[in-house]
Amino acid sequence: MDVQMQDAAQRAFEIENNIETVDAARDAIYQFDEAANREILKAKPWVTDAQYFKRVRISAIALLKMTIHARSGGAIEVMGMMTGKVVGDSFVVMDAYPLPVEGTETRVNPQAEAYEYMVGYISTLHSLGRKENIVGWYHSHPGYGCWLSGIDVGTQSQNQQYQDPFLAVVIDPNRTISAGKVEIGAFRTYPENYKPPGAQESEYQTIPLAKMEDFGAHASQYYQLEISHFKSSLDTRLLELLWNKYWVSTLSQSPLLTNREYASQQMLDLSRKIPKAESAIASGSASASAGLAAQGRAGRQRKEGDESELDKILRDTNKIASEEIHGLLSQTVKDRIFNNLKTVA
Amino acid sequence: MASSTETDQTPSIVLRNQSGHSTDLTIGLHPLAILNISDYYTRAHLSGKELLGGLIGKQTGRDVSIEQSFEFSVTDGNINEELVVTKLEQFKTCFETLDFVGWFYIPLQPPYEPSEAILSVHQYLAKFHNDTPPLLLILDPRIDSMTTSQKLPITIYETLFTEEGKPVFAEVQHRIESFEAEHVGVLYVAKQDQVVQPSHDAIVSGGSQLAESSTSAQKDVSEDLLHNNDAEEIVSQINSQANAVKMLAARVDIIRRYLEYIMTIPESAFTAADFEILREINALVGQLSTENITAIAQGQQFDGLLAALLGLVTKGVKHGVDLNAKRNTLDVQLRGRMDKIPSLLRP
Repeated sequence: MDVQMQDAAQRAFEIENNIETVDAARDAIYQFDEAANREILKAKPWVTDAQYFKRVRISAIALLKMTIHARSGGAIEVMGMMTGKVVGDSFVVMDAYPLPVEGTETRVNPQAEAYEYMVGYISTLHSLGRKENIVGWYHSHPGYGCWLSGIDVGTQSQNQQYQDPFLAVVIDPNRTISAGKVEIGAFRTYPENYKPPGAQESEYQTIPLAKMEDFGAHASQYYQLEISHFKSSLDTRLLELLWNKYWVSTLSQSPLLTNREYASQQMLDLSRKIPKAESAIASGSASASAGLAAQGRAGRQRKEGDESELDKILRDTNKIASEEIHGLLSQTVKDRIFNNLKTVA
Repeated sequence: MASSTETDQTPSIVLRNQSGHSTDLTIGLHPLAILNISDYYTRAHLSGKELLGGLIGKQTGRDVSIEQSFEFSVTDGNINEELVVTKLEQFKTCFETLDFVGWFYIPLQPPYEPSEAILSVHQYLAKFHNDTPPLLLILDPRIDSMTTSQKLPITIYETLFTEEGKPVFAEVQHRIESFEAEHVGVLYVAKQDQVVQPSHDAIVSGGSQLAESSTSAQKDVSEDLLHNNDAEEIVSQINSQANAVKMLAARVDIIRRYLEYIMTIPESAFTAADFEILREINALVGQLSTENITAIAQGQQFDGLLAALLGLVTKGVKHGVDLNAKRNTLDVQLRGRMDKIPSLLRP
C-alpha cells in the first residue's frame, strides 16, 4: 500500500515538473496529516484551556457552500456540518455540507433523521478517500446577526462535551446580501461555571428587539474566534479568470432591490426600539435633576445605560444609512453610464 | 503517446469548427461547481490519477445550470456506482430540485479534451441522466497556460451523433451564473487572504488593562475599528465597481473599433462585414434605452437619502440628549455647591 502510494506520488511529482499546476507549499493545508491529527486529538490541549482555540480558517468552497445554503433557506434557519481538522490553536474547515433539517427562529436542533444523514454522509466521504472528520456545525440566522441563542449554546456545549474539538459557525444570509460581504461568526462555549477573565464585550451588532433578551442572556457563555479564509493556488487563478465574466453581475445586480425587505425590517425594528430609549431618557433626566447626591449617583449610572441605548440606535441607523448609500453609489455609477446616452449622438 | 496519433484520433471524437451555433443549449455554470472541482484537484492531484466526478444542477428544456459537483471513487477504472447513487440521494435530500446533469474530467496530461478512451465512461453515466448522454466538462489545470490565454480553462461538451450514429463531442458555450449569496461569497473569497473580522478578542485583550479604569477608551478602540471597517468596505466596493466599469469600457471599445473598421473598408469589400454581428450590436444598442428604470431608481434614491437623513436626525437627537444630560449633571453639582457654600459661610 505504502509503496503504491509512494509510486503514485512520485509519478505525480514527475508530471508536475513538466506541468506546473499548483504551488505545493501554499497548498500544503489541503493535505491531511493523519499522524499529526491523531497526536493533537490525543493531547486534547483544549480540555485544560477554555479559550485554547483562537482562530478558524475556512476554505473557499466551505464558505461558499455555507453561504449559499444559508441563503437558500430564506427566512427559515438551516443547518449543516463542517469537516476539517485542528492545527495548533486553529480550526481548519475544509468542507461543509447541509443537513436536511429546517429550524424555526432561534431553535435549530438536529433530529434523528438528520443524525442518520450525517453518519451516512461521513461514511461516504471516507469511502471517497477523505479522511477529515466533523469539526463543527453551522446554521443560519436570517436577518438577526451572528451570535448564539440559548438553544445554540445548549447544542454547542453538549457537542463540546461529547465530541470536542467542535466549533459553531453562524451565518446571516440577509446581512450578507445587504452588506455585500459574508456575515459570519465562529464561536465556542465556555465550560459550565467558567468565568472568562476580564470583561467580555462582544463586537457590537444589531439585534432585533424580539431577540434581544435571548442574545443578552447567553452572551457571556461563549466567545468568538477570529475567522480567515484560504484558497488553493488553482482557486486563485480560476477566481481571477472568473472575474473576466463576473463583472457583469457586479454592474447588473442591485443590493437595494435584492434586500429591500431586509432593509424595511431593520427600519421597523428600529422604530420599535426608539420609544424604549425615549422613556428611558425621560426617567433618566428626571432622576438626575432630583438633586440629592446619592440620587445623583444613581441617576448618572442609569444615564449611562440610556446613552448606550441611544448610542445603539444611532449605530443601527448609521448602518442602515451607510448600506443604503453604498447601494445608491453603485446606482449612481450605473445611472451615469447608461442613462445619459442622448448627449452622444 | 505520440502527438501524431492524437491528431489522427481526435477529429473523430471531437466536433470542431461547427458552422454557427448548431446547438441551442444554454448552460449556466456556477462558481461553486468550478471551485469544488479545483478543490478536488488540489487535494487529489498527487495521487497521479485522472480525476472525475459528477455535475449537479437543474435542467429545464434546453436550459441547464451546473450548480455543484462531487467526486467519483474510481478503482481500476471502474466507478463505484453505489457511491454515486448515495451521493445523488444525499443531494436530493437537501436540494430537491437538483439532478445529475453531467460529469467532469481532468485528464492526466494534455490534450485536455475528450478522447476515445473516456467514451465508455460517458456512455455508462447516461444511466444517471435518463439514458441520454450527459454533459461533459473538462478542466485544464495548467496555471501557466491560463496566464497566457486569460480564459477560464473550462470546456463543456454535449454529445451529438454522426450520420452513422457515432457519438461525437461538440463544444457548447457557457456563461457564468451565480446566486446573490454566491456572488457575494465569491467576491469575498477572491480577495487576498485577509482576516475577515477583526476579532473582538483583540479589542478586549488589548483594552483589558484599560477596561478597569475606563470603559470609554475601549469604546474608542472599537469605534475606530468600526470606521476602518467602513472605509475598507467602501473602498473595496468602489474598486469592484471601477473594475467592472473598466471591463465594460474595454468591451465597448472592442465593438467601437470593429464598427470603425467596418466604416473604413471600401464599399466593394463590404461583404467582409459580418451582418450577424452587426445585427447583434444593433439589438444591444436598442436595449440601452432605460427610461422606465429611471423612475425606480429615483424611488430608491429617495429611500436612500431618507435613511441617511434619519441617521443624521438621530445623531442630532443623540447630541441633544448628551448635552441635556451634561447640563443636568452640572446643574445638580452647582446646586449642591450653592447649597454648601452658603451653609459654610454662614456664621
